[in-house]
Amino acid sequence: MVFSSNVFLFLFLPIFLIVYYLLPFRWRSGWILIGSYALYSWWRLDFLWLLAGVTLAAYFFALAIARSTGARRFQLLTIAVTLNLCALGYFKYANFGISSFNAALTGLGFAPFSWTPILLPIGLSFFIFHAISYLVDIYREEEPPTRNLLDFAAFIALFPHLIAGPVLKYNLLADQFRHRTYILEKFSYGATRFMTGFAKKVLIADTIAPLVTATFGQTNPTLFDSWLGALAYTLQLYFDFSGYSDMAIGLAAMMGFKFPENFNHPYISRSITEFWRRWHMSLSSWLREYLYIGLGGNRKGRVRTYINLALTMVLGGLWHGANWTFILWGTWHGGILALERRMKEAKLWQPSPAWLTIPGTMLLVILGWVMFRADSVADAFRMYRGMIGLNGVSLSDTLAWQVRPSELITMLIAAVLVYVAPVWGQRVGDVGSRLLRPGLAVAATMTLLPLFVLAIMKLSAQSYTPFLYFQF
Amino acid sequence: MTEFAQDNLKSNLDNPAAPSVLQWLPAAFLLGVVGIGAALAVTSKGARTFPVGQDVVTGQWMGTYEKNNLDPGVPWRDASVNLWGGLNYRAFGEAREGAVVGKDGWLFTSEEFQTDKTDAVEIAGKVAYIKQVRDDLAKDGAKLVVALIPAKARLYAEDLRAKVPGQTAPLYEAFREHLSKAGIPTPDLLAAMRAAKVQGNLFFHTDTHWTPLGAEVVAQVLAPVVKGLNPDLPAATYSASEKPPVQRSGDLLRYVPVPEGEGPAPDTVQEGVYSRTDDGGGGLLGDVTLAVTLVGTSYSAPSQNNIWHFDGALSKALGTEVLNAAQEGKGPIIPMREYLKSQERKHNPPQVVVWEIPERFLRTRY
Repeated sequence: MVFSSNVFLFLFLPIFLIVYYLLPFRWRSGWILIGSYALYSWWRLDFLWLLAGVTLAAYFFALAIARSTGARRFQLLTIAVTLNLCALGYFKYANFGISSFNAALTGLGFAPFSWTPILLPIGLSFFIFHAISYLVDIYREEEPPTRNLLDFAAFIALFPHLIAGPVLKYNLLADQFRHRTYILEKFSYGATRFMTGFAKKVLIADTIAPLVTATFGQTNPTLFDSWLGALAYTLQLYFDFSGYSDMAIGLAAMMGFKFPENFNHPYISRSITEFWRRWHMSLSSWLREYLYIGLGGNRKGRVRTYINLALTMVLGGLWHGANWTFILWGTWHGGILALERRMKEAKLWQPSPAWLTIPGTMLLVILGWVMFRADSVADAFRMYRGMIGLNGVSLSDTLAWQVRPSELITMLIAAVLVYVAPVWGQRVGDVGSRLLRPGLAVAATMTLLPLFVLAIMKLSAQSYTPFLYFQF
Repeated sequence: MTEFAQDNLKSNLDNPAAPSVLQWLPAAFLLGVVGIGAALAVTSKGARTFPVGQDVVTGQWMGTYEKNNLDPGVPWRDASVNLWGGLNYRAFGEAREGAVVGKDGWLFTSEEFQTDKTDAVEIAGKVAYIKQVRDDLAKDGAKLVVALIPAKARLYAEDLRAKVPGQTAPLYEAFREHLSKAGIPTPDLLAAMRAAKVQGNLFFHTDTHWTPLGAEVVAQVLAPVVKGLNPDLPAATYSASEKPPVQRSGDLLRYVPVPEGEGPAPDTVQEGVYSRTDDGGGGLLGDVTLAVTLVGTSYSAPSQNNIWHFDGALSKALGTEVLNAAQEGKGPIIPMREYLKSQERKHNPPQVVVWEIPERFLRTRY
């Protein structure tokens, strides 16, 4: 069940909120668990065992780790993390591994290995990451293990972040499961964020989506085709994913929770290093704390630091999906991160004006997004060939009839929002913030309300459009 | 340091200049919209109609309920389609996905613009299947004639705003040549229709289909080709007349949901009436054999929307009654597959089968 759907908005959400606010506080974790499992089961009921199993394993292993001492602690952590990674590996990477292996086999003239493809459970990457972070935090003694299985299960399954993040640490929410404030202003804030995210997703990302599909579907995209597609996807992904994050943050606030921010104007970054401090911040934070530091971080010398940076991003890329495109995308970002660090250490990184560094960083980001979006490495390189003009310059006639003025106007509005919002000093999603000047905040909110209704009507007028990050 | 989504709330609460309307309005608005929407949704017929025979464990039931029952059943669905379709047409001159707006009130189906890297394979597959059908019919002594109807966008290219992709330019002639080389008569309907454009519109402005005149022109071209195969045609005579002119909104107007008068004007049409004037037709116990069978798509199928009566025009042009085995909404391949296995074919073995295949379906997989 996606947030931008009739079934969520008009069946799930009202029932959930009414019961939630009618129940006494001590029963609300139970209701969150029931609601979240119901939302998950709407996709398929038969994978609920996996979510419940990961939860139970993390809960009991954490208790065992906390009770153990010495080498036993590390053994238990290793077993628990390995089990989680095995689940992730089996469901997410087995198809990819076997197909790559079969490609090698057939290349060598052998018969391919027979294999029935496995279904990827939605949200798997997210709840596995939540479980691993909890286990590592207990091992590192950054927090005591919880003895409240209900709260912990509700945290893992909490529906605002279950399917597509943000990636959260249990300790960020542990206290909130024991105590939350419910004030009208907080609910209003949540409503504003939810409506903003909904409008971003439906009015902007979904409007641009057909253009992205059309451009990336071109056999020999021209210079114009490929740049149009790359820019369209750059905007679609931002408004789709940040829209989802806004909705998640908003729903959490409506339930009394505080979620961390996930975006902070990433497209005004002046380096790729800064980009990763602003884009999908919860994932960057997770990768830094549990992967980069786990690999040794910058404690093992200069060369290892570069290798660790690159490796973290390669694995982060692979986390997004079992495809060589994601590995190359991660390699691209990891390589640039290592290079930037090297340049900084060698004092080759000179302060440059924003008009140079922001477009420069965006160029690197856009080139990366092409690989991220493409169905295969070959498709990505078809786009790259187009981007340097090897397939001609002008708009292809196979694309021309599909380019709609409404899509181009929406792209323009999206670009303006991306670059004007930071000037206000506020997030795009934060239109209701009263840190804005009062008149502007009221005007923004008054604009948002009819836009939300328009977005609902657009949702009903269009076909089903899942969030891009659901595939991860 | 982790930045939380509501770190600014505290300062907001302490901010005396903050407008108090923001404390309650968004919450009230969202709850109001969701509440009213929920009340309308749960009382709608769609929400109270549930799928039968779908598996709950694998999510089939839920997916079907959402996609086939709830979403199309919410009471604001039609209003939403009309609102957004109307906005896009008025502001940008765009039709909803599925149609392309041309000049002077012409609408075209987007099927005539679509291309894919698999097109060549699909088209080659169609050629191979048509040859197979020819061979299958030949076993019973029947001959195949293909009526390859040119795309509306090809025939009325001057009324397009967006150019049809260049890779489709040779499609009509190339496909016809493939069939002609295989010995399957495939007359050049494109040339004939281009020549006949001076007589009037051969396709509707607002519909994917041809006009009665278009159907008649094609029937006139096909008749000598069929007769040239020397079948033994049981004679039948027909008279043709026309009903009074009426306005007709074509199927493509659904993609431009604006009130009448704001969008493309409906077509004016005089529906043809073909009546048999001899004593034939089978009678009560008549054992009539029909020599010609027509297989095809909605361009031929007897249906409520069919006012072009291609079967009538063909019968009149041939001077014999034609068995119509065309089906609406299934493309050209499925009706032929079904016809080949049908009792109709068994009980009434044809001498000639006319297979009406619109060009717009050549790249589409069925």
